[in-house]
Amino acid sequence: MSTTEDRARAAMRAIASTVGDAPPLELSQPGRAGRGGRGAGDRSRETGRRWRSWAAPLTAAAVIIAVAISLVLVKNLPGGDRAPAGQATATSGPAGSLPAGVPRYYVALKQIPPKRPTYLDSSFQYAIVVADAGTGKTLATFTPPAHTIFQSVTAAADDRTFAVLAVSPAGRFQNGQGTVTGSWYKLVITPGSAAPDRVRLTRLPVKPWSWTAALEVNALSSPGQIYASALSASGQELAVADIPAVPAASKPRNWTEVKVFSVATGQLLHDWTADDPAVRMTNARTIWQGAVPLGAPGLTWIDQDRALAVATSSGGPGPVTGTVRRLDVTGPASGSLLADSTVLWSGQLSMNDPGHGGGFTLNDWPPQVTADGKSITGDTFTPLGAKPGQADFGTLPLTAGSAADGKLRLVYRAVIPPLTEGEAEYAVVWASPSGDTMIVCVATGSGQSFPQKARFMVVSHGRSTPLAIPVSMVASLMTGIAF
Amino acid sequence: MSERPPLTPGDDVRGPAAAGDADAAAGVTALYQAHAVGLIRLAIVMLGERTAAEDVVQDAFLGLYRHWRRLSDPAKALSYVRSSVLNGCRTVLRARSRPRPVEPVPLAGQSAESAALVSEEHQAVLAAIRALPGRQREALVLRYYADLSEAETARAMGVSRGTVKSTTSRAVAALARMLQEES
Repeated sequence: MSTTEDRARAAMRAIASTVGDAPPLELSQPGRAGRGGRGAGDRSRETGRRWRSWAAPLTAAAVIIAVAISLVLVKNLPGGDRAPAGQATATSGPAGSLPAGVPRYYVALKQIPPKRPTYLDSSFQYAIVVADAGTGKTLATFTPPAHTIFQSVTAAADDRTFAVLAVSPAGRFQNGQGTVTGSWYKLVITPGSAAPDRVRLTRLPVKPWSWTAALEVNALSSPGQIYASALSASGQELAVADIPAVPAASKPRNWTEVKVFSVATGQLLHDWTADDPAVRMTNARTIWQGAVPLGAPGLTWIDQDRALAVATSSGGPGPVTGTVRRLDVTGPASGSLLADSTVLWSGQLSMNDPGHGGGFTLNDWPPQVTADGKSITGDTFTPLGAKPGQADFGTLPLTAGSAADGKLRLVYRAVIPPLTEGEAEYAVVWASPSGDTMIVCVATGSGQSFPQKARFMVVSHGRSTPLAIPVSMVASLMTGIAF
Repeated sequence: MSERPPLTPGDDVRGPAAAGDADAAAGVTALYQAHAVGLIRLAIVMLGERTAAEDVVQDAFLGLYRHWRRLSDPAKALSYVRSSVLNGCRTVLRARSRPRPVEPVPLAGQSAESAALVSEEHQAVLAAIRALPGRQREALVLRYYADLSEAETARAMGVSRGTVKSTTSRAVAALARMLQEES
């Protein structure tokens, strides 16, 4: 019979063994109570779980600078007023001065110097930064756990719930290849009135899976490889686009899979696959980002979470065809991505040269599909005679045959006059359900020091509202910031 | 050069200056990545609840970060943070022992998972350990889970070796009594 000491030892080791990993470390500035303040136990009892929510991220306390954003003239061109009035996905809070309907909070992946080279990038890792876009206040910063890289972030429509994709390599890469595992964290913001805002980061119960990743640019797809994640507007489902785990999927790049998981339980709710060049998930952005893609937004929940817009591209080198499909989540499912979806739009993607006269561009693909499923937004339109550095954002209809006559009918357009800081890159990082209000980013700089400056702003019907988002949030734009 | 004042877990001082932030962040993050799991395990044994355990460890590393400039010997960072974890556990346990107007919210996720992974026999033993007075429980955990020597346990608890010996002995006796009564 075992002694009391043995029984105690065995029981303590048993419960200790249930801890297999540690959550990301959050380090913040002073401002909380120290000795005499409330302890962790108090917080745990009251909230179940809560991470601190202090002011500035430590990894770049000297870097976070409020960018002086000048007001930018926004032209509201003909057609702008025809944009349908959409239902707001979020409301701006009292702390900020944001236009109605514009999300107050954002979550961004901010570059931080790694302590050691990572498997993917020898220069940077990413911390999760949670901040108020109106006031510029940083609510929380989470540094990644060991051997983990935060890769992309996606938001629900409640302005409170986010999901972050994390990728972890299993050991060192050999000959540029290695096994990585993808998993997700759920981030929830609980705004406080008297108390500070609370931010909570927990691992999603979706079972992680692994794939073979390669550092080689343009490497072949690998079964399991994750291309995109999208949190539903309700925050209850997580859609993931990947390469299905079938042996044949490692050869041609035509395999695509779309899965939908329950955020609450991690249960797989839906699973569609296809083996067809027309629906493959590879795209220009993915290839440029390397073999472990940053989760480009090829998936968008639309129509009040009743469907997913699946944006794919095919072809190249040479002409590239873009396709946006509607995949009904609530209808009967055969498991075939092609059979269960309908084409919303398909056409050749332009290279955005001034002579083309506008259109959906390869540079901006996959696009931001609006939540109503009727249009896409982006820096999609370059007018003839545009001056270098001019930012031109448009909302274009996403209806079958809209490009049949070669002319796209602009729904809404905002033009920002030329900037003077040198090279510029533009992106739409959030759009209202109808696409008549956008959060855009114009980043400028040159060479290795790009970006040096950045302007995040809300553009809507001839007005722009600057946002207090620092230039350091530009690093992984598109997939690295979500509102 | 002025001598740095001694560092005590729970001190409330200014955080690292901006210029030293990177060093502090790198040092603390490295320590966290190397030891966080072990410390969360220690805390969950003490508290029986993963959420609180993670919070206590998070707080301990946050304290280390804030005190980084005053840390005279970085090699002592681990013992400092371990002491902070123990302090944090004591705080949680003290708070639990006070009357509460509202019952704690049931924990979802990790705690349910933990409970499912621990057998009934172990759960019974853990319940008995949790019923021990705080100091006895601490001594038991440090001696029989963390496998610290009497001297190390004494240093971690801030008591004499004799106190460790007697406290541990009383803890084992009390535990045996509770387990016997239960069966």
